[in-house]
Amino acid sequence: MNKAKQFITARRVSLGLILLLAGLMYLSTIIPQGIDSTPGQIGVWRLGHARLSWLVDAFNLHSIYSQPLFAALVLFAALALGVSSYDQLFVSLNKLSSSGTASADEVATGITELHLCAVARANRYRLLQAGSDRKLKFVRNPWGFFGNLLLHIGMTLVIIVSLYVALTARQGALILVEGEPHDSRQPWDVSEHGLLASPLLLPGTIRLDAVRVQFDNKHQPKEVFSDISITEASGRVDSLTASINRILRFGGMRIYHTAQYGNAFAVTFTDKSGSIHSETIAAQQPTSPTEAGYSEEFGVNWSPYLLSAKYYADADKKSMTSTNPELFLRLTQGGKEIAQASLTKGRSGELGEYQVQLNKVSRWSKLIVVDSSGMPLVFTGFGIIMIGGLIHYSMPPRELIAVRQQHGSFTVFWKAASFREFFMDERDKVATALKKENES
Amino acid sequence: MKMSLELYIASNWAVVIVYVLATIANVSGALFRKDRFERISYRIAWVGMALHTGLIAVWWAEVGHGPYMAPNEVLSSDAWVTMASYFVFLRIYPRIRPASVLAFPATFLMLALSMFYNPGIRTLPATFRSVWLLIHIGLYKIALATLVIACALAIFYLLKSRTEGGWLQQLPSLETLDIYSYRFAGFGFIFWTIGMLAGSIWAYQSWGRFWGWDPTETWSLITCLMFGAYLHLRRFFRLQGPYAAWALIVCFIISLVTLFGMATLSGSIHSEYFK
Ligand code: HEM
Repeated sequence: MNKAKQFITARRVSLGLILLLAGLMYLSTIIPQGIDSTPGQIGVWRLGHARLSWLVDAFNLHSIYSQPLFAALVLFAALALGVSSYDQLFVSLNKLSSSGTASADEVATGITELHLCAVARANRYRLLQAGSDRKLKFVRNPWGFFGNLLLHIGMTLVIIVSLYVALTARQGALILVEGEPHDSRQPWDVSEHGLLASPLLLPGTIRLDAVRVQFDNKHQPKEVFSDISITEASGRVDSLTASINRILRFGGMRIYHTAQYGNAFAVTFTDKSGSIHSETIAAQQPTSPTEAGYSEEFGVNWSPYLLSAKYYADADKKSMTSTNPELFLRLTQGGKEIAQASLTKGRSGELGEYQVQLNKVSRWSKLIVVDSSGMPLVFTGFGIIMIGGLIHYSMPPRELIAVRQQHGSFTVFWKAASFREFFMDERDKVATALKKENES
Repeated sequence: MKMSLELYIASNWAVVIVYVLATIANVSGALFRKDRFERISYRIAWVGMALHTGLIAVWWAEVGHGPYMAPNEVLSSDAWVTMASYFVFLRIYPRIRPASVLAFPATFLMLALSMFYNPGIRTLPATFRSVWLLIHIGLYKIALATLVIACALAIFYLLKSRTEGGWLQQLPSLETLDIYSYRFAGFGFIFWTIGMLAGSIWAYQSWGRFWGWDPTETWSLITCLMFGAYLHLRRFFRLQGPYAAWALIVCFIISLVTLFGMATLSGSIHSEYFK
C-alpha cells in the first residue's frame, strides 16, 4: 500500500504525467481528431502521412480524448493529485506549527517579549503558537502555507467532476423558425450524450414565438432574445425567453441561446415543368446595414444545383430593423456560379431556369438544450485553484521564531517559506527594528 | 470624440516612435551605465503610455467595444498592458528594472505590428458581452506581460553567466536573476491559469460547454501544463541556473504560439474573431 502511494506521488511520476498529458494534447493539435474534423479531412491527413497510419491506429490517435486510455490517464492524475493533496495537508500543517530554526537567519538577540511582539505586530507578523515556553512563533501570511494545497485540491476536484460531467451530460441543438413547432419526437439538428447517459428528449413541443434583437447605436446587436413556448404532454404551456449569455433553466435542463440567428426566407421555386418547390432558407444576421448575412450552401432533391443565400437587413442598406430586407439567391455547380437573383418580400424573379418568389420573411434562432449535473462543483474547483495559486505565489509566508534564552530575553530568527531573496529588505527592516531596543 | 482613420493610424505611429525613443534611451542607459538616460527613458515611456491610453480610449468609443476583437486592437492593448505591468511590477519589485531592455522593445514591436493589420471596425458578437470574457482576456494580457519580464530575466541570466563584463555588470547577481525569473514565471502561470478558467466559465455561459478541446483551448492548457512542469522541476528537482533559464524560454515560446500563433493559424472560435 505504502509502495503504491509512494509511486503515485513520486516526483518523477507527477512530472511524467504532466508532460505526457501535454504531449497527448499536442498530438491532438497536429493529428485531426474525430470530434472536430470531417472524415474527409481525416482521410486527406492519412494520405499525406501514410507511413504513420499504423501508429495512429494502434493508439487510436484520431480520438485521443474519447478513448478509455486517456480517461484512465486523467483518472490516474486525479488520484495522484488527490493523494498528494492529502499529504500536502499534513506538510502544510507541519510547516505552520514547526518552529525549527535550521534554515533560518538569526536577526537579533537579547530582545524582550514586549518589544518582540510590538515589532512583529508592526510588520504584520501574527503570533501563531506559543507551544513550548521556550519559543514564540510569528508568521506573516500564514494562509500562504495552504496555497499549493488548495491549488492541487482544486485540480483534483475539477478533473473528477469533469469526467463525471463528460460521462453523464447530454445535449441537443435546435434551429427554430418563428411559428413552426418542433415536436419532442422530432430529431435534433445535432445531439450528443455521454457514455453513461441516454439521448436527450425535449420535455414537450417547443415553438419559437418571436426573436427580438436590440441594437446599440453602432448597429451592433446588444441583446438577442428568443421567446419560446413549450407545450408538455399534459397540455401545460410554459412561455419562456432565452437570450445570449443568460442561461435559461427549464425542467432541470439549461437552454442556451447561440449567436446563430437571423432571417428565415420562405421562397417558392417554379421549374420549367411548372412544379413548385418551397424552401425556407435561414441566413445569419448581418453585422451592419451595409454587410450581408449568409446562409450555408445546401442541396435540394429537386435540383442538380447547390443553393445558397445572403441578405441585407435593409434593401436601402440604412437600418438593421427594417421590414424590407433584400435577399440574394445563388445557384452553383462544381463551385461555379450558375445564376443569381435578388428578391424583396412579395417579389418574384428569375434564378437560372427557375422562377422564384419570396413569400414570407420570419426570424430564426439556434438554441442548445443541455442536461448535465456537476457544473457547480467544477466551478467551485476553479475557484479553489484560483485562490490557491494566488495565495501560493503572491503571499509566501515569512516567519519570526523567537527562542527564549536563560535570562528570559529572546534570540530571534527569520525565515521565508519560499523566494527568500525577495524578502531580504523585509528581514533587514525587522532586524533593525528589533535591534533598536538594545540601542536605546 | 470622432477621429478619422488616417489620424488614428498616424497617431499610433507617433506613439510607436515615442516608444522607440524610450527604448533607445533605455538601452543606451543600460549599455553606457548612465542612470540619467534610464530616468529619461521612463519619462518618455510615460508620455508614450499617456498618448497610447488616449488612442485606445478613442478607438474604444469609436467601435463600441474593448480592444479585443480585431488583431490591431489586440496587439495594441497587449503592448499597453506589457508597458503598464512593467511599471506596476517595477514599483513592487525594483530589482526587475533591467527587464525594461526587453519590455520596452516588446511594447513598440507589438504596437508597430498591430499597424500592419487593417484597422477595420469589427462588430462585437452578442456572446462577447460578458464580464468573464473581460477577465479572460485581461488576465492573458497580464500573464503575457509577466512572462515577458520572466523571459527577459532568464535571457539576462544566460548572457551574464557567459560574459561578466560591460553593461551586464550592472545587472543584479545571477542568483537574483534566477530567483526573480522563477517568481515571475509563477505569477505568469497563475495569471494564465485564472485567465483560462475565466474563459471556460464564459464558454459555459455562452455556448453551454465549459471545455471543447478547440485548438486554442488545447494550446492554452498545454502552456499551463508546461509551466506546471517547469515549476515542478524548479521545486522538486532543484532546477536552476542556465537549464532553468532555457526551460523558461521554451515555455515562453509555447505561450507565444498559443497567444498569437493559434489565434491566426487555427480554425477555432478564437481565430474566427482574430482574423
Ligand atoms: C499529477 C499529479 C501532481 C502531483 C502529485 C503534484 C504534486 C505537487 C507537490 C507535492 C507540490 C509541492 C507542494 C509543497 O511542497 O508545498 C507541487 C507543487 C506545485 N505543483 Fe503539482 N502536482 C501534480 C500536478 C500538477 C499540475 C498538473 C500542475 C499545474 C499545471 C501543478 C502545479 C504545481 C505548482 C505550480 C506547484 C508549486 C511549485 C512552486 O512552488 O513553485 N502540479 N505539486
